[in-house]
Amino acid sequence: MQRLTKIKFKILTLNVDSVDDKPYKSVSRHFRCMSSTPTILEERATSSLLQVRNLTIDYVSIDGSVRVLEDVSISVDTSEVVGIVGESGSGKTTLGLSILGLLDRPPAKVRRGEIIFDGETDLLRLDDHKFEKLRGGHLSIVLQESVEALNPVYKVGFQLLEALEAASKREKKSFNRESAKREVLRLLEELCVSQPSMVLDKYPHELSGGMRKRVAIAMAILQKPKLLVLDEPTTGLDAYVQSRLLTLLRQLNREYGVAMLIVTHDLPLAATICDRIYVMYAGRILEEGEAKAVLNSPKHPYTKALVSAIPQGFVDAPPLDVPPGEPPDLKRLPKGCKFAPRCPKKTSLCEAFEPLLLGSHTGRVRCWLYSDDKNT
Amino acid sequence: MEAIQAVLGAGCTPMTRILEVENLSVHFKVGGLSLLVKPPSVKAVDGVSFYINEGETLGLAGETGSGKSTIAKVLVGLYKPTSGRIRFMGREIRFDHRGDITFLRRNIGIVFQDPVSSLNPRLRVRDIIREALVAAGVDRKEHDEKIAQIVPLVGLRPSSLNSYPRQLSGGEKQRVSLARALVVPKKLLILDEPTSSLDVSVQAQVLNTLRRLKSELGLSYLFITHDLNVLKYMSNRVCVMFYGKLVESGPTKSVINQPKHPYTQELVANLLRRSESGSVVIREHQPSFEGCIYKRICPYVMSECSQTHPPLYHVGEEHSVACYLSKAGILAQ
Ligand SMILES: Nc1ncnc2c1ncn2[C@@H]1O[C@H](COP(=O)(O)OP(=O)(O)OP(=O)(O)O)[C@@H](O)[C@H]1O
Ligand SMILES: Nc1ncnc2c1ncn2[C@@H]1O[C@H](COP(=O)(O)OP(=O)(O)O)[C@@H](O)[C@H]1O
Ligand code: SF4
Ligand code: SF4
Ligand SMILES: [Mg+2]
Ligand SMILES: [Mg+2]
Repeated sequence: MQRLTKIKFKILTLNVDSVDDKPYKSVSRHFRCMSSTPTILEERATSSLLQVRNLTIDYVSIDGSVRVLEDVSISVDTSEVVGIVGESGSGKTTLGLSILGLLDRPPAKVRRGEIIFDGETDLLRLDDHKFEKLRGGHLSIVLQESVEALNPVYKVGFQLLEALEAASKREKKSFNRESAKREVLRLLEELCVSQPSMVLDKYPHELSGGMRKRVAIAMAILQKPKLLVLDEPTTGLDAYVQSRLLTLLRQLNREYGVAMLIVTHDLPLAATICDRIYVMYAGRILEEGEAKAVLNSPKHPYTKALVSAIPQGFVDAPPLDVPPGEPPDLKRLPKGCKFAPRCPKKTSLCEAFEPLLLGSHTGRVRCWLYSDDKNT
Repeated sequence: MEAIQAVLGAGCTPMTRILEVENLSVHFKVGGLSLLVKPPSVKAVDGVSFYINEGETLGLAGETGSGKSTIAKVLVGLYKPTSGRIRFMGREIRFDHRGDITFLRRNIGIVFQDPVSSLNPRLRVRDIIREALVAAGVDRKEHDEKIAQIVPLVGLRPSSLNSYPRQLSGGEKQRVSLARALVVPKKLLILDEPTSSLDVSVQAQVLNTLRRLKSELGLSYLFITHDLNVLKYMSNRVCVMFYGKLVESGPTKSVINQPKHPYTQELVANLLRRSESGSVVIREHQPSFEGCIYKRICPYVMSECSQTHPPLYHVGEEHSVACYLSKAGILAQ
């Protein structure tokens, strides 16, 4: 972990440009003010670590093509923790996989957009071989279905050590099996794995679901990435292990400056760990803002519905507030605002025209209710 | 079981118990290729007793690997218990008896934790749901109608019926398993993390549906979840497990409002902390294999905690705790 320079100063992010629709030309969108800065970081800090610009992706099949991402732009700064929150099928995983070059193309087809990582590479146009190298190194992902990260025919310990060996090779450091094993054991312990040495000796199928998840997370951490993408990292983990995992991730972020993109359907969870959150619906970003603000004072009617659906009270409590209507059918989206069929506040304007994502650096919303806040 | 009723007092009329589990243990052998060393075993479930009343939801909480899913799998005949007794609908279950296993499977439905591996990738959603109808011997003519009824209940789009599992998102897959489990009404439904991969609005929909179906169809649930908010909202009573042992059980309100076991106290405290700020207290989390299972983590260890794992003590109406701190209460069993 020593490779990553420790970051001990605060990064301030100010968005000046707020219109999402135009692809912005340069990195001028983000200004950073910082105190004493190590030189390597100064270079890197002039641009976001990750920028996804106007990404538009279809899934193409014989039945036709379905748009799963429409003009999605997000950014993750160096050492920033960003959350993507949204309903199932909103395209979160597709977004995460596209950043890692793990989308199956076909059926996925990139219609438009670019993904800039570390200031230079357009990930969408990278060849497989180069991507393979990037993935093992600066970019790492914990998949939603953790089963897929592990090879069923090798014992867990072998796979974890292999990941660490690859990381050492990349850093041109010598690899010592014994000390590597100690590092692996320590990491597993930090992830609340009891008897970690016994776990190393098991095959993936012998582990419980939550244990497999933690092994997959350990695997990603061992690869020592600059950006860690975590797709539903906490599903299947109990409250205690969840908070332990969150603490570990926060530590990883604070001490080693690992930037993270956390994809989750759990808004309160995202609010506890992320600096900034994007709320997605039907392949679009509907709201963006500072994490706590999005949870505590949501603006968009959809975000409000998400917050009020969180279970509260005991078994005698009344039924939960459920947003009416069905989750959006991507094959038959309405013409105007995509949330309109379920929105209690819709007007005829909403049904006719889709609003833009507008606002200032404190937050942006895609909703006609907020259209006169700033530039209409 | 009679002992419990005796302790509860003659005053309360016991409800009909649909399921009674006594002293259930499930031990797995691990490793074990060497002939010299006796293979170690994992005590996934160790001496656990609980019951479920008709029409009730019993919540099962506890950290990963504490044995919750193993209990669920025993109840549908996927694992054979190492020891213990199970009575379901008044029938003593013999696990080497095929008729008894069929009886369990016919009357107990289950929704697994992992939606992906539990759905056959080669079948369309319609046929995955249909399989459950075939297995239950439902007349072919009724299939389409039953499928059409269940699909909106679980929040699935009718157009998804023609999809293959791989074409669905994680949440959509989980709703398919729910539809499959609910399409034939059962007496007891085991829900193993049924909503953990669902976003809150679909979760809310599913939870509302589950609560409604329970009273409409007179179902009982065994609800396994890590989410204390969901646990509170869904269960009449809860059992808290720690590394294969039952450490606390009782009515949800008393367990959440007055948790007695140090582990439950920690779970509840973490829940509160998470909803307020973000900082959580972190302590080592390893079980002890001598004396009380919680000994290595427990802030209140006393000398007797090193002797044997504590039995269950009564601390309130139907509320019992496996901890010497609660010794003043009456021994539960
Ligand atoms: N290989 C595929 N072929 C066709 N459609 C697909 C494919 N993969 C995903 N989709 C569709 O794309 C949409 C978005 O899927 P995605 O898995 O990205 O959603 P998600 O937000 O991650 O949901 P969840 O949280 O439930 O996993 C869904 O409607 C899904 O059915
Ligand atoms: N087929 C198996 N072989 C060996 N060990 C197993 C098997 N299934 C589960 N276990 C072990 O049993 C314990 C409990 O697992 P499980 O019931 O899945 O936990 P939970 O559902 O509470 O997460 C774990 O230690 C797990 O590793
Ligand atoms: S634009 Fe209109 S329909 Fe859409 S969320 Fe806002 S108020 Fe509702
Ligand atoms: S029995 Fe002792 S060690 Fe176990 S939980 Fe109670 S006080 Fe702690
Ligand atoms: Mg997903
Ligand atoms: Mg489980």
